[in-house]
Amino acid sequence: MVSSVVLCVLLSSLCAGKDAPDLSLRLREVEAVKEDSSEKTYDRDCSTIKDALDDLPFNRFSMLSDKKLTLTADKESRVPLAAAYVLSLNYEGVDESGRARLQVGVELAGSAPAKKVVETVLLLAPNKKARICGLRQDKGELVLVFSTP
Amino acid sequence: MIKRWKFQKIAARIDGELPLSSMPSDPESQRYAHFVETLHKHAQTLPEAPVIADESMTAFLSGIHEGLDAPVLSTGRLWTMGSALTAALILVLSLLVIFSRGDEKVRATEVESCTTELDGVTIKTFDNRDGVSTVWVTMPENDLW
Repeated sequence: MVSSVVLCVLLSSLCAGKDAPDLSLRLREVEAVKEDSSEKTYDRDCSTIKDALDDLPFNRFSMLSDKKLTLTADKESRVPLAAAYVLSLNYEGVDESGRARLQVGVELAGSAPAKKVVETVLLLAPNKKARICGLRQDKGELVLVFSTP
Repeated sequence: MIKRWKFQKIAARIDGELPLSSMPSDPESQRYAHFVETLHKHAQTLPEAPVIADESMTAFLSGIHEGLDAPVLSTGRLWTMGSALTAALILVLSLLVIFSRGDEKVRATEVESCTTELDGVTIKTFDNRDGVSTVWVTMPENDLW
């Protein structure tokens, strides 16, 4: 009798739908510049994410901003970037493999209607990074590095 | 055989069935006589066994019947229950393992899709050697932005 009750409780808890918890997202904006020097230089903040930068064809990396965001499922967040871009983030919940599904758009700031330079869907695994590279700005390019705790 | 007969005679004398004057005087007989006397003495100090009166016999027997009819949680029954509970536990754990296998975490980040609305912009995706998923935008050098 007791085991039947325990079995039912376990099965119902396994079959029950789960509400997506808020997503903690870390967003870093990095300015990547190509200089004549053959040696790569990273500022103090960029040196902590060398794994996301050291294969890029640039010499100097500077952290423009480091934001910790909390995203609610199905609620769009807009983040102005340092360069002439606006970032839109739409967290769509966690997929069956446990990864956060994040719709990311980079728009040209001031364009009407808004023109999307890139729109992508990232499946972010815990403790892993993803990045968007090649966003031109006055000096070098902008690299966006996304990571989850 | 002779010794046994001799001890029976000694016991009969102490019980008063034979005259005490004919008690043998050898040390072995004296030791046995002393043993029997001590046994008698201690037996007399024991309480008398309770006697169930006729009027109490019905209640006494009904009590016995109640005791017989009551279910007894025997060791065998306990073992059966324990085995059944263990089997149920194993079943539950097995189901838990089977059902939770679907939620096994994938530890890789992935770029599911990417598009652009700008002409001349191309996008490619790849993972670098450290497993960082990358969306690489190639923008032509013009004043579109």
